[in-house]
Amino acid sequence: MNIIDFIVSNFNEFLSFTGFANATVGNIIMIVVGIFFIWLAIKKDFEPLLLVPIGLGIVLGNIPFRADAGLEIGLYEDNSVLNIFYQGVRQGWYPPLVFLGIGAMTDFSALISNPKLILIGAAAQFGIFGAYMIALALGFEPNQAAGIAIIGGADGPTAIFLSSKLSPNLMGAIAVCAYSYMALVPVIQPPLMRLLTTKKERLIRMQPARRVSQLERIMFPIIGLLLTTFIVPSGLPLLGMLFFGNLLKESGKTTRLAKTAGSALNDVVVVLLGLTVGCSTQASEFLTMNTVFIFLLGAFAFIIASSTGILFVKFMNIFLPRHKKINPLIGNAGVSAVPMCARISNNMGLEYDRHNFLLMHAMGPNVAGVIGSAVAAGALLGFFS
Amino acid sequence: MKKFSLILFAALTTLLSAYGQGARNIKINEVMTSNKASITDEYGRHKPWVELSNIAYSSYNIRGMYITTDRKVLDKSLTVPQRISMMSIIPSGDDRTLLTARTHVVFYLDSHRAEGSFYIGEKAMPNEPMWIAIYDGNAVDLIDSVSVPALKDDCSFAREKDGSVKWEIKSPAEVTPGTNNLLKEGESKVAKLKREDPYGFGIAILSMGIVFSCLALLYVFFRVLGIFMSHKQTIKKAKNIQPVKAAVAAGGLIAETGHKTKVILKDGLQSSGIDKEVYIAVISMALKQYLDDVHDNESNIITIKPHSTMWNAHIEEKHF
Repeated sequence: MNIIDFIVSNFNEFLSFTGFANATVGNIIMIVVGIFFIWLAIKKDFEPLLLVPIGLGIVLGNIPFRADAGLEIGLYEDNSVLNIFYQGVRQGWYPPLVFLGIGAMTDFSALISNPKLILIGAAAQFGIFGAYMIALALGFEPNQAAGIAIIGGADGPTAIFLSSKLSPNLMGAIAVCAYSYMALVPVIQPPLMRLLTTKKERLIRMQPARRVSQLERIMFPIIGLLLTTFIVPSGLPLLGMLFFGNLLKESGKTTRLAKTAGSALNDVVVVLLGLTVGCSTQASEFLTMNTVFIFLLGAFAFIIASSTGILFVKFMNIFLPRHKKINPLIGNAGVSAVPMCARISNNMGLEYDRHNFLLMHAMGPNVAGVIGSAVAAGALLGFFS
Repeated sequence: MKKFSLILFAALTTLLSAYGQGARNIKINEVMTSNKASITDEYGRHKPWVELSNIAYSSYNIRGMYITTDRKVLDKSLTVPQRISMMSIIPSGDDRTLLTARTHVVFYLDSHRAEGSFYIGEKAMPNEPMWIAIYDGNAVDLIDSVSVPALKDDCSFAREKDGSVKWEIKSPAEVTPGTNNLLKEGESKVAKLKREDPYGFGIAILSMGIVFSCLALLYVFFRVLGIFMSHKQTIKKAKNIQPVKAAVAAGGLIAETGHKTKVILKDGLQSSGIDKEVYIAVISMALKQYLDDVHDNESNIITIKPHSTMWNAHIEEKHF
């Protein structure tokens, strides 16, 4: 009798620990969202390197369990394994490490050979500030609005870095939103590009870029670092690591370090970042009206950013001589989803002229967008912290 | 030379890092010599006190450092044991000596060591000027010191704000033991921004301006550098063209010989007793040498003239 009571009571207790006993509708919805992300990544090939870890992270973060059991397994429970991984997001360690990898993988030659493309990267940041104003109008606090608006930069690490500092309670939604829109670049940008350009403009052939010497490529990260961080020291973690990574690449003497920063280290950080960002979207935190607003604002910011990039190229073309005109199809690449946006510019260019290869030209504004969004994040951080 | 540079670099790095961090960030922040109605210690007494502050954004443990009010320690000829006898050590074994970023700690003067870690025997004469200093753990390196003027009861002598070089006398109502000297009051930065820029236009314009300025500076720099590098590349390319290369070389030789001739003639004409014909002979020899050199400068271009042979005649026919 005693043994039966023992078994029954312990079995009941065990049942109370299971996910079935603790599941909420929110958990189920989020698990479905997570699986949808994984499907998008694998089936549709939308940023699989990011969406697979984020998707699985969403599933992992929404597995229901008894929170009061003190199991120390949840993301928001001190000393749990996931919590330790999450510190990299909360304290802002991962984004600069990702930037190190980006720097180590990025070739800035296109930008150096045609420096006016840098300005397109600056113009595309207008999406951030447009979204900031609308977020304020919707009733968000200025620091929250700044965290949300940075989605317009289309730069996941920057969005995580800024939101972890300014609006940590919205960080999960902001990060997922930023990565979602980055994955949806091939869906969002082409219609905008068609809408804002004429056929004649799409056929513009740009002058081939001149060959850039190693000296210039070495000077770029050093000068870039000095010029940008002297103006915006608050962007130091991101800009510093970006240019450091690039110097490792271009110096020609630290190839091993550049290779590690751009491959193994970057992969480790992306895995941890994606997984923990996904985990942070627990239903109780994520399924709110704020998340809906964040997604709407993110879409708006992204559309504005892409559009202003294209329109700015058209504006520049007014002043440029005929043989130096820029194809506005590379304007969308001012947002910093590298190299996705540049690839879209190239594909669109080839669609209208099969000999018009725009990839290298589009890489200029694309990498300028990375710098621009990091500078914008630094500026906002400076204003609000 | 390379080894020396490395040693110098290592030494500089060590020195700078040692200077830039740690003990130097510990400052005397506020002093009260006559405490009648200000804060009480853990025993409920009103004791004179000194506040130390860690002005850095990193933690530092002040255990093992010394506090003194005896000016004699400034005598550099004193031995370390002599100096230590004039100072009070901050004891180890108390977690509270670890000062986290931008925090403060208060030490009570005129006390006994046995009363606690923050009680030291250094004397403070009420309403009289005094000097107080903190020394590093070696009892030799002066970290910070201040000459406190005569203070009224319950007034303190404090830095205008934490870490500032400017000191001021604070009235009893303004004394801030154990906290920032300049207390920030009023609305937060975010609230202020919300009030002053409710629609976000100001921040948007400013931030866009900053982004554009940064990237425009990069543009200007690399535009100028690009022009310079293109120019350099053009010159380099031009130099590599064979006839130009030969002409440049010949031009260089002519210029060099001309210069030498000019110098020799000038010196020769000015100096007496030297036959002018000697110079002419030297010039002739130089010219001969130059002409020989010119002869040796070949174009290095091998020209193969087409020569029609019968074996490929059918191919030529095909073309027609």
